[in-house]
Amino acid sequence: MSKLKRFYNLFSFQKRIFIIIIAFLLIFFTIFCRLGYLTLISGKDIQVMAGSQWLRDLPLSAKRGDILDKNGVLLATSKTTYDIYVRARSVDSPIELAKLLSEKLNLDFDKTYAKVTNKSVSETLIKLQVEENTALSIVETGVKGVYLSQNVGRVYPYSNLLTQVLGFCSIDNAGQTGLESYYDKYLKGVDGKSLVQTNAQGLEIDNSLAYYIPSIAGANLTTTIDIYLQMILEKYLQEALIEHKAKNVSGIILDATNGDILAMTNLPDFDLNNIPRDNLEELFALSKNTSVVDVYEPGSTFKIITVAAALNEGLTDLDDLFYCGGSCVVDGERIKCWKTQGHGSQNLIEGFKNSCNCVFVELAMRLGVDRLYKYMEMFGIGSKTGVDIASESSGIVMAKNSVKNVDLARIGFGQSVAVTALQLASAFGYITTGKFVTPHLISNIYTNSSTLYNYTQTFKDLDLKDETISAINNMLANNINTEGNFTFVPGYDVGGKTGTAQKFENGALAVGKYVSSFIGVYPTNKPKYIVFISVNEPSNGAYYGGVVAKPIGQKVFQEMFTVKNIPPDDASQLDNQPNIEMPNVVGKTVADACAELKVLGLNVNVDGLGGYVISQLPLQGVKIYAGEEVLIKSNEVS
Amino acid sequence: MIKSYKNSIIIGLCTIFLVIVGIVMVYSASKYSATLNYNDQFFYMKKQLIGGILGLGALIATSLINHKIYKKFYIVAYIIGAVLLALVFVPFLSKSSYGATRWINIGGFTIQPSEIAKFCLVLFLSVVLSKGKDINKPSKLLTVLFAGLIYCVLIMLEPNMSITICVGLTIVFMLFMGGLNIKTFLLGAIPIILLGVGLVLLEPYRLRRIVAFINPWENPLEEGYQLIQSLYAISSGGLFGVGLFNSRQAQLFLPFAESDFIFSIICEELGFIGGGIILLIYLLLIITIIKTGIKAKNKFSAFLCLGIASVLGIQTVLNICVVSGLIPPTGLPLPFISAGSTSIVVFMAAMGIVINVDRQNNKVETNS
Repeated sequence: MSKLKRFYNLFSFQKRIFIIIIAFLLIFFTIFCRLGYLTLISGKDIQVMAGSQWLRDLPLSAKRGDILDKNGVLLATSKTTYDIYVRARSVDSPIELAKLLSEKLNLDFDKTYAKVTNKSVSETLIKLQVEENTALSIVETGVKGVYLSQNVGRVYPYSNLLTQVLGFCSIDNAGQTGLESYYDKYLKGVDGKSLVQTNAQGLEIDNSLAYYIPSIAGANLTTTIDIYLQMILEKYLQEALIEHKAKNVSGIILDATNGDILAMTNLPDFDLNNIPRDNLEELFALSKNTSVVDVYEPGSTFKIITVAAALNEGLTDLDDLFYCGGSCVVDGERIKCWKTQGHGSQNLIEGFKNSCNCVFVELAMRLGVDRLYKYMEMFGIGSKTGVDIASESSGIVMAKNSVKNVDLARIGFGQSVAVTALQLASAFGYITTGKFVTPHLISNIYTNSSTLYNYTQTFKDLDLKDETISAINNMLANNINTEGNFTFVPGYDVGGKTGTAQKFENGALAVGKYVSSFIGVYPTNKPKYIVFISVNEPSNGAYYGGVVAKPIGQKVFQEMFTVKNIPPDDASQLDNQPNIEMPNVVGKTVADACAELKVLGLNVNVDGLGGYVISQLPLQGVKIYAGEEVLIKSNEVS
Repeated sequence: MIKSYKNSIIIGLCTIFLVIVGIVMVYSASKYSATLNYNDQFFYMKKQLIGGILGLGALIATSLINHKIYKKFYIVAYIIGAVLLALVFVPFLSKSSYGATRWINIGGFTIQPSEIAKFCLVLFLSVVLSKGKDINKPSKLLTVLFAGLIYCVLIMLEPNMSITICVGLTIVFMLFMGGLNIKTFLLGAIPIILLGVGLVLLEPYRLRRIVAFINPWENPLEEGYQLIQSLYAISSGGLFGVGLFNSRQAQLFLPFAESDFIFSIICEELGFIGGGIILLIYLLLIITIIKTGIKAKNKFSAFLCLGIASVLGIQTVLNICVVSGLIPPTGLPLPFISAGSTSIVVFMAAMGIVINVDRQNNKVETNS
């Protein structure tokens, strides 16, 4: 005992042990503090960093908004569809499965059986874009080997209808063209996400939904489009496209009272549900809204602007007399009228109906550059309409200070100026109503709970006299009807103007390439509907606006009145159908043709000095009224 | 009776408590990786359970065997330890993992010699320090240092820096308690520090680890990764933890979650409270062992207990300091808890020895 004591004292053993214990206590205390700091104080900050590795966010794609027409008809919507695959190696009863699939999906049993037994590939596609109900009903039977892949796809119930107006979306549902692109930020909604806990390999941990941020569905668009008018327009344009072997055709139906675009199309087009994504050139060409993007030299349809300007400035009146000898001279340059031997003496009304270039050269000269440009500007020529369509062109108008008399003369009858179809259609609305409105496609944007946006039109009265407006309307009606009767569409007060413009390509006139157009107005006593028809490069013989475009407009108006239940302006004329069928006189001698047509009671105009008829207007078989003017063209042009 | 066996009971209960915590936590920390690697979520837990049962057997055995018997075998024990350490370098016996050869394979069992050697050295030092001349005599000091150095070099060659540090610190502790002059300590510190710096510079990965320790976020996917993952685990524990078996970091994020970094998972699942209680248990165990040592009636028994307390204390402190980012990362199992049968059996056997010392103390008391 004493020996041990000495040992302790000698090396102060107890002291050393005491130091050791104190050291351990201090170290443990430090560790304790550190743990407390980590778990209780710094936790939050480190958690934020840790969160990024624990949680994987799975996007919850927002439902893209619907696009509707003004009647509430669905034009574009989003839908969940499923692609159905089969993994042959997991199939236990191939015959049953093939039977089930072929029945549910309307597929051929033998082909389906071959697919479900094809073990050489890991999985075989059975059918794309199957409706949710159908797909789920297959899975619910509990069959083995069937796999679904979900798509939230864009669905266009009317396929080809409104191809350019609606536009299409990319594979990941981002708007690319048309309304889909223009209003993408409203349509797309806000994607949500679910944060899911994962392990270090990124695999989801069972039952561990951490956070769920729901997506916000996109807003819906109500457009100004009237699906029923759109169908009519597309039906007759499609017919015309084929009949006239045209490069393309386009049409617009505009409500001049408020700027609503009721129908708008360019053909050819493509099925929005089956987008030709593998042919980009074609895709871009066919999805371009040419009525707004492309400009063309309008020709005779532009004359409404010249005549409206001259009338409003008091430089002419309806009884003003003009003479056309087949051409006129401006600053030493001879400008030809389309009718070689001239229209002779005619008043303004007749000059407009004849679409005599000389009359409009004269009017343009009377107006001068400043005044004509003032009206062009007033009617929106040379500036964008402000329509809600991307890449709108403003047209091409010569700089005012470089316009010489010859240019002025040409502008007077629609040359040396380029417009968009929508620009000109709008101009018709402005002139016939005296009101300036902005053409537009959107009516309102709404969600399930609220309306986000309502289109409000700003109406602007144009500086046009009432007499000018009514004179123009009367002349438009007179253009396409026989005097005093509504013969264009029997019983209905439709007015209109045709145009035939030769195309320019690379700075020179393109031989044989025309744009044939017609712009109709209804009713001329209080215009509301503007129908624009244009046929680009008809190549089946006929190319005159009166022959090619006007009949399309006629059919469109006719069916529009029926579908929209619009009562006739004069019911007594409903039966006033054209009763003379235009015979074929092409190939006959001019003398024989004249004799034959006169017997039928028609007024014959002969163009050219040759002996044989090479073309006629209207074409064979068209029903016309007695006393109507017909045109035959001879083989020799002066 | 109970009062006189108080230390034994505390040591026994603490040990069993920690071993059970170990079995449960090894399961929780490894169930995911075990499922992935062995298709059996209980893979590591079963091994740990077997280790615990073997350890319990060892504990009971050593508590019954009079520890003074070991005194006679101190040279043999030292040689056995050295031989075991050397066996690691015998090709057909050794087993490598993560670039280090730390295990040997004997009859299907994988054992980690360094775990056993630590205690062989403790026994050796206890005997050397308790008999003969003053430790401050150069010849004796050099003998002790040389014996320790052989172990250190052998372990360092595996390489296993962490156990080397652990063994080195144990030698320092025992020399200190053995009464080595403070002056000698200070003189000895200089070459040891130089040696340490040299070793760090020798192996580039050690330097990278130290850099990673200073700012783990500088290289979060490589050197800093493990520490960051460990901090993520601890800090998400909060006061009460995310709940037993709910660890997110055990979902493969934290490497060695069931072994070296198990304390992080404990803190994550059981929070500051859980981690703190376990810390206190370790402290209680260490102090009880030291108390048992002080009460011992002979120097050998005292040094034996103090040596065991040193090994346990040093290893526990180093492990927890590493996982909580207090010192640079180094791989060292947490006694009783980390997965690893050798470690658990050896530590439990050591606890048995301490219990035996306590029993002997009480005997002497009753006899006198």
